[in-house]
Amino acid sequence: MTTIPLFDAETLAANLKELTPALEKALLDAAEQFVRDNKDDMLVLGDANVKAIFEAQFYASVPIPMLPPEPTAEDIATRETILTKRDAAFVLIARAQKENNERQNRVLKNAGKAATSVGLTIIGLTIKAVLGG
Amino acid sequence: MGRRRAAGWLLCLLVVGGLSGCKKVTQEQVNVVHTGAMAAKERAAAFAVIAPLITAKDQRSAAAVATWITQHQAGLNAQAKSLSDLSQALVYRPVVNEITVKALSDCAETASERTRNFTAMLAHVTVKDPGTPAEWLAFAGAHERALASQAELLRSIAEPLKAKIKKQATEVQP
Repeated sequence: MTTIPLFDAETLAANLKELTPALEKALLDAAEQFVRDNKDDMLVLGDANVKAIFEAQFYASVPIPMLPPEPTAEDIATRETILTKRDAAFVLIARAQKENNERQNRVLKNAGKAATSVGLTIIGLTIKAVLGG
Repeated sequence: MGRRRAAGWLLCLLVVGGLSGCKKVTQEQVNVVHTGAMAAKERAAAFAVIAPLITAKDQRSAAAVATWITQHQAGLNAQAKSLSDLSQALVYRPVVNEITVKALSDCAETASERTRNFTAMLAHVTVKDPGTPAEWLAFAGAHERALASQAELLRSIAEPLKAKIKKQATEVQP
């Protein structure tokens, strides 16, 4: 009988033991990058979102288990659960990106208004100087 | 007034400086993400309609099939939500962060494996009344092709952005 390394408790423990240093680095890198990317947004992530991001980074760091040649419905269902956890991470990251871009857009528009105001002031002063002169 | 003007210019400089680390996305890629988001939404809706009709061929697998249906639907919904948010993000500004590119690449891999899972599950499931096997096969074939197409679409967006990041990293580190 073919066995596959799905995430039962024993395999998970073995994976964690073997991958701990690499995983720690991957998790820290991802967390730091996430904070760097979004620091201007002052995002309040909340424990649940942080947990979901870390969990998803874990599932993204560990290779997706291969399907055996003739998988049972149980094999496929377990694997589908892992795939869905990976997708859950992207939901959070895409939302953060949306909020990030929305804020940048707002800041850019405000900067544009400020620049226009400065430009109009310069034109005003120039006209005043020409007429006055 | 002078202070306000100075603050305006400072804001401009900060914005330009702050945005220099973002990865620019082309208009074509923006369109592809938008198309992908629409397709993902439709696919999730279509599966939600058919899901109550799917049943295990062998009742000993009923619990596993039920789990798979729930997870497959959750995965499709997650993809639809994330692509919709990404599409909206690109409407605001056509730039993405590095972590988003990595997540997009992971999502492409996930989508590809989900297609394999769906194909494998076809051996274990069928349709119950009032559906017919022919209708089920037609749906399954279309769903399978759509899943594969989604994986390819995600990869086509993620890979050029990943390559751009890699190139920039190589240029920075001699």
